Amino acid sequence: MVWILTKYVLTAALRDRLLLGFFLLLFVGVSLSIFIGSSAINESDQFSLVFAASGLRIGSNLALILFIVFYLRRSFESRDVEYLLSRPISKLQFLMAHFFAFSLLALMVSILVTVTLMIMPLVASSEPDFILWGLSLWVELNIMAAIAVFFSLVLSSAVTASLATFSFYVLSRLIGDILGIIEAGHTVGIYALMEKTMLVISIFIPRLDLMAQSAWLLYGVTDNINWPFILGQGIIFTGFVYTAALLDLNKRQF
Amino acid sequence: MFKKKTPFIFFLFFIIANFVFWQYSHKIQAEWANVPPPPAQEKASLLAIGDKQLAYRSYATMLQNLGNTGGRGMALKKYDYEKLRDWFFLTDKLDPLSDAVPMLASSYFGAVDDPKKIDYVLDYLEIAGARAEREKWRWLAQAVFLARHIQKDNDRALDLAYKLASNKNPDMADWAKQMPAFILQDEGQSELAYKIMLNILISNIDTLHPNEINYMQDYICNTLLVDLSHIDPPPFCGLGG
Repeated sequence: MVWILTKYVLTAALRDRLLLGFFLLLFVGVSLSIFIGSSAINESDQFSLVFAASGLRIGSNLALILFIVFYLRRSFESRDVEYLLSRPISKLQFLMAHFFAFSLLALMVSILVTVTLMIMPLVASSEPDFILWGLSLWVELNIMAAIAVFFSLVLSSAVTASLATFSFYVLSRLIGDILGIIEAGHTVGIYALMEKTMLVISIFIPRLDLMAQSAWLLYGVTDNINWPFILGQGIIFTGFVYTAALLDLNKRQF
Repeated sequence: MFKKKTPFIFFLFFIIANFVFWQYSHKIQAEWANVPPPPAQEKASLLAIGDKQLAYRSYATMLQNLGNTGGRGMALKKYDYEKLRDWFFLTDKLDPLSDAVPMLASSYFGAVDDPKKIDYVLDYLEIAGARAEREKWRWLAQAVFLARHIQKDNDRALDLAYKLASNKNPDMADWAKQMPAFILQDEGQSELAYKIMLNILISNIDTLHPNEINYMQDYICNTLLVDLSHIDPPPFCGLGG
């Protein structure tokens, strides 16, 4: 039953032209990056690669988040969810099927982006690490898919759920800088209180600033980030958010 | 009849109003505010939502096109070089390995028509070119060129040349190690230049290319020793050197 529901979600993605739209995004993103990169007086290939990687990373997240939020809200509004849950499927299985489907979509998107970057104009990189970058993008997309599912269940409007997920994404990308600023500063009064509040919030924010860094594509992984760290963060955070989503789903009366 | 035409009259009014406004607005250009102050280091990657490399490339593109956007072309001497130097150092923190900004600083901003402003470029190249990684020493060599031939400041050039010669990169070109000797000879300190050249020749004789050895011998015997009659020429000078 889980696999049937997974196929149902994947069919919905095809019906919503997610992959077609993503191919278009890929084409436009790479073309623009090459155009902007070629205006640099030196290291043009490196500029193009970094712009393409960073742009497609954000584009992949946007595409997946928008699909998930609008698909789930539509399913609730058209009472598809109620119909599905009336079948012999538990709420856990319902969520697992969605997790598998979104994870597969994330995998397809990550592979498409990574392969595109690998075949972009040859870059004079010393030790580029495309594989770890691609793996990291897949994990990041999984985390954001979980967040999108959570907000789609908790918030009743697709627009507010999308905005909440995007805001969460931006915060996750900036949390490293915010923690760095807190670490560097010596603040007092109300700012000290805000620092403490931000530190507590940061417990529930994944460190997406450490994932899929475009510098890896030029110089390889130079910091102490490795695949156990990436997978570890992905498993812990995705598990945490899907559990929260399950708790919310269990409380609902259909 | 009148009511039916009212929206059309309003539409016509706004089209004409828009055209009149355009007559006034299309000639207005945003004033060039010179080089903006760079953000603090810890906030530098906020623009690129946490991706330092993207921030580096974005800032490098911004620096390259600064003053040359929207059909405007601003002379380099009008740039605030002190702020430019701060930008160079900021980008250096974001990516110390790339050659994009060092190239921009030395070859583009270094071409300014005001030699005093080159000081700010030299401050940056002195740091960026001192690293042993890759071929960073080339930026220090470029700094020596700017100081010696554009600024005509041999003291600064010599100081930079000593730093260049002490670069730990094992693949650094031999001429870069000889740089202090060239400047010293130009300054009339041929004896010190002679000692430096002889020392490089003796300590690297096993690794130097034969052409390089021939050049160094020729420079010692036929350029440096011409002014140093009190020094006994080394044996190779009697062998056609």
